[in-house]
Amino acid sequence: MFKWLLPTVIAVLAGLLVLLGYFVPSPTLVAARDILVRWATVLAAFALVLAYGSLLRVHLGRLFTKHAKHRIASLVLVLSALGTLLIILLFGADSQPAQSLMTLVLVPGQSALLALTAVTLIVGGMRLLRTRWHFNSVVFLAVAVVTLLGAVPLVYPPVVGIVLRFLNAFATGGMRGLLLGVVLGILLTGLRIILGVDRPQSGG
Amino acid sequence: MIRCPTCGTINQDSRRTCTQCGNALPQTKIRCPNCGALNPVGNILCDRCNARLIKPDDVIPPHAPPTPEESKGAPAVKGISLPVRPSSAHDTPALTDDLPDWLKDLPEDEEIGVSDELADETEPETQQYPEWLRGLLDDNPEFGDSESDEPAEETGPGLSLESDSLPDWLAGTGAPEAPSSADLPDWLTSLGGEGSEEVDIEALPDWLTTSSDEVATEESDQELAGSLPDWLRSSAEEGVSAAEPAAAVPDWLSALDVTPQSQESQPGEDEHAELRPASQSTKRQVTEPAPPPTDQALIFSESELPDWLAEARGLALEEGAGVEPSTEDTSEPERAEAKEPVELPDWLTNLALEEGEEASQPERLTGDDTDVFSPELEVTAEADSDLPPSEPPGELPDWLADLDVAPAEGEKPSVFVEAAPAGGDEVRLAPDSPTWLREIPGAPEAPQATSGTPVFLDEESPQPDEETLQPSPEESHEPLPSWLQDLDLTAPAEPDRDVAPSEEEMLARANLPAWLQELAPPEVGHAAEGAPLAAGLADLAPADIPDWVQALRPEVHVEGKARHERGPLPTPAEPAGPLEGIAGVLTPLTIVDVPLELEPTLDIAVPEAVVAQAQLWQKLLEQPRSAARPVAQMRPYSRQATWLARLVVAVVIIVGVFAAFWVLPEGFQLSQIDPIQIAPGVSALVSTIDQLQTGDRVIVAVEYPPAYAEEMSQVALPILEHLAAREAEVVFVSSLPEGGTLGATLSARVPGLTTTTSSALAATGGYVAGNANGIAAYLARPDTQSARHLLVLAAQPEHLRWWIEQNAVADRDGLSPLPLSVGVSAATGRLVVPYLQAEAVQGWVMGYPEALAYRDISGAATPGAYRQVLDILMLAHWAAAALLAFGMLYNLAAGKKGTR
Repeated sequence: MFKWLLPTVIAVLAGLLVLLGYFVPSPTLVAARDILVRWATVLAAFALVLAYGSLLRVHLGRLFTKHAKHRIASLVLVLSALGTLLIILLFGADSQPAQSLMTLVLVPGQSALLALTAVTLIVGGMRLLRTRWHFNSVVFLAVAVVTLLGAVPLVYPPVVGIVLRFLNAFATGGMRGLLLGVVLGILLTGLRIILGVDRPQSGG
Repeated sequence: MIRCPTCGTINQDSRRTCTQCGNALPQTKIRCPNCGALNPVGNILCDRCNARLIKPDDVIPPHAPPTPEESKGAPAVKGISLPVRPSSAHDTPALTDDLPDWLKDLPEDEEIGVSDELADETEPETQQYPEWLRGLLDDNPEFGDSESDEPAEETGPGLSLESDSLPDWLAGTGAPEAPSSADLPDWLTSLGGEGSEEVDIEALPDWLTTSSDEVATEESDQELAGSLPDWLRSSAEEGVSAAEPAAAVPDWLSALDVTPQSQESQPGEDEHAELRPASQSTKRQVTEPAPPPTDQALIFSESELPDWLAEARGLALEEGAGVEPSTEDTSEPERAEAKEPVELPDWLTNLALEEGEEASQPERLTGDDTDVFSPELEVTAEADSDLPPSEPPGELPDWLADLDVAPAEGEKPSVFVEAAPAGGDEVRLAPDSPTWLREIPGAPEAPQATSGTPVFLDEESPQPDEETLQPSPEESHEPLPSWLQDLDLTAPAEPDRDVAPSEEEMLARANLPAWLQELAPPEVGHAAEGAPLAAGLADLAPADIPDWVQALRPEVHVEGKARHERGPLPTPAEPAGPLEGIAGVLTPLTIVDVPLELEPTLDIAVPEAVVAQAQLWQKLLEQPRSAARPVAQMRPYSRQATWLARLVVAVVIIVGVFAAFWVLPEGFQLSQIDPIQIAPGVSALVSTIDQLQTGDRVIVAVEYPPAYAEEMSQVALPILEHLAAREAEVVFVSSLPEGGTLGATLSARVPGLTTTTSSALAATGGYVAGNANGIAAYLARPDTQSARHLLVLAAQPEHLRWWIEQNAVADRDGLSPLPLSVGVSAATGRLVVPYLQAEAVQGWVMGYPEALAYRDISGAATPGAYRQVLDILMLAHWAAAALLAFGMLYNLAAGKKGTR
């Protein structure tokens, strides 16, 4: 019983306290809310440590497992993680070695992957109608072409500007709708957790 | 229920062994020879296969009870002997399995025990009764055959009297000479068979056969060989010496040797004597006929014998009994000897008991009661060894004396020991003797019998002393009267039970069931209602009818009709309720067996639509699968084509980017940018930054990963350079771990930028943990509230929302939201337009083109390289748009080739 009931009770009480702390201007509730928010911050930071440890455990296990695939990749990953950690711990996050590591390794690498992503997206767009011959596919491709041309206009004709403004209106409306959906989803998820319907803390 | 013969435990009918002691139980079922099913005793046809269980010849034909007219003219039943025996061999039910051995031999006994004349005379009378009842009448001693008297109620069929059945008073009698075969009466001769030596031992009852197994000496065989039948000779083998020819007499016959008890015997000791067969090795109690009182021994003269006894010995020949005794045995001298006082054997002493006397209802004598009922003596085999010799046979009736079967001197006394009369030789009848016995001329006055009640002792009961069991020399040497010598030796049917009481007593003792009582003539009923009998019946406890008697219960049978087809049983009376005691009102419920395979039927109307749908599904399922069905399948990509497409795209982008660097002349500007037109938020941002004073703290949130570092740096550098120009103090924070390092990289690229580290985030390098909560907590800190502006550089929408939202709600706690400006990538900007248009956002820069516009608006110098990068970016966009357009048009023109 304590495996699911006690965590649920704690989660519900914590959620209610934080919620009341935002709606009721009570110093006590605000203090309790701040304490709980601070605890959540610490737990989030500790979750990062757990993620780091889990990454190392998985790849170290793969390294010491015979006939495991991508052992070299795991070895590089483990060495990079440990090396970065070691450099940051030794010299600090704003030190020159840390910045060099960022500008010479992380930024070119991730930028190259992003560029490849651009190439892959272009190839996929070209084959879209080949695999999914649909009107929506045509519209999608048409919007992509116009957006690309309108993002950096070679010649800024008035037509292109009008089209871009039209597209920005659609994009803004769609994004607002998405954001409203996201907010409603967050609100509903919070209520379900507070009411104990969902128990992510106990796996339920 | 089955009563265990060993321990008496009541077991269920289906049990084969006793649940208490484990011994085998008698069979209570009849196994069908056809199907093997077990049927209850009494079934003629099998319950399962209707096969016949009993041969047709053995079935007792149904007889209707005699009508009152017939019963009125019919003579009274003068006694009923159980078990039921058919009058002829054909009427004998095939119940040999259920009948005791000695009862199985009843037909043989009938043949040899009843004279033809007697049978002829009794037949007209018995014709009025059913055959099965006629069999009873034939067995009745009144009709001249007394050897088939019913066994005692509690006596098992296999009970063997052996040598102990001879009373000690008779056992002590000297052995008379063995009569020759010619001396024997006809009925006795017939009993023994035509040649007594040739009599098959199997024809004898078990109790005789058992007796014959006892040891006998060769000498006695030699003496008795010529006069005794085999069964008598076999009895003589019971360890009797040659000088004691009486040992050759079977036990039951030994009891016939009437010997007056010695006057010297102690009365007190005699009172403890008990008549009990020594063969009762088991604990089972055997009902013994009541012996006469020890002090009132009856002495009969030959002429005083009852008719039936006279018939047995042949004296009643003139009276039409039909029995032809040996004339040699009826000489006057011998009769005179018979008048001498003799003591009757046990089975004869029962004749002196009157109907309804307690003698017919044996009492179980306990040890304490032994003193009261003194006449009964229990003699064991060991105690009998010292008995004095029996009386000479001269005192016996001639016909009995001629048998020469009296036990020799020193022979072990038989079971039945008669105590010597205390009063001398005078014969006195018991007061409860039957009327017919008292009417015999010369019958003595019957004394008051105080202890003549037949009893039997438990084995645990105290045994009398051996001395008390020894008869006096006088009585042991008392000769057997001649009439007694001629006594029917075929009455071996257990002398202890072979009593010939009156018909009333027989009826009362039999405790007949209702169905049998109905068959009895009314005279019998009246006789049973007589005063003596009624008094006796009142004291009688209802006796249980043995199973073997129940098995003989006749039942109406129709040929070819199964048992279960018989009519319904009468409805019993209601045990309770308003109809209590009333029968036949409510019919019993019929037991209905549920079929094993019960298929319940549902009374539900199925709609036609459902039926049609079910039929359609059934039809579809029954259809064969078609060979080819249109299934959408992906056409496998060609590896070469894929590589070719990727190669073309890469070449186009690369050529376009590098061509802008190398082909385009310096100063040539492809793009014509109107900052006001393409970047509406840049002007507000520039104005906000311009309002900052020297030393104002500006928090810069670096919320983009390293992949967007180059793009975001082109967005952030104009703003940071503006801040540096405004001499603002910049604090880099980030909700991403790598944000602090990226911020440091930016600050390194902006000369003159003053940067500080948050005191709260100094240990983490500006990392704000906890996502939105961490951002909220950071914004609520006092040092954060002292900042004048918040710049968020984001390449991901989520992180930008966190900052905008948490800053917007900061006023809930009395805090003021910070002025916020945004620099986002070109890809993220379209997704956060609603946020950018929020009131809290005072300006934004979206992508590389607006960054150039920011420079133009802020009045910062724009190097040529920035313009060149913009041209290269424009060419790349055109190339990507061209590729997408080409692919779309090609595929549109090629048609739907994605499926086959």
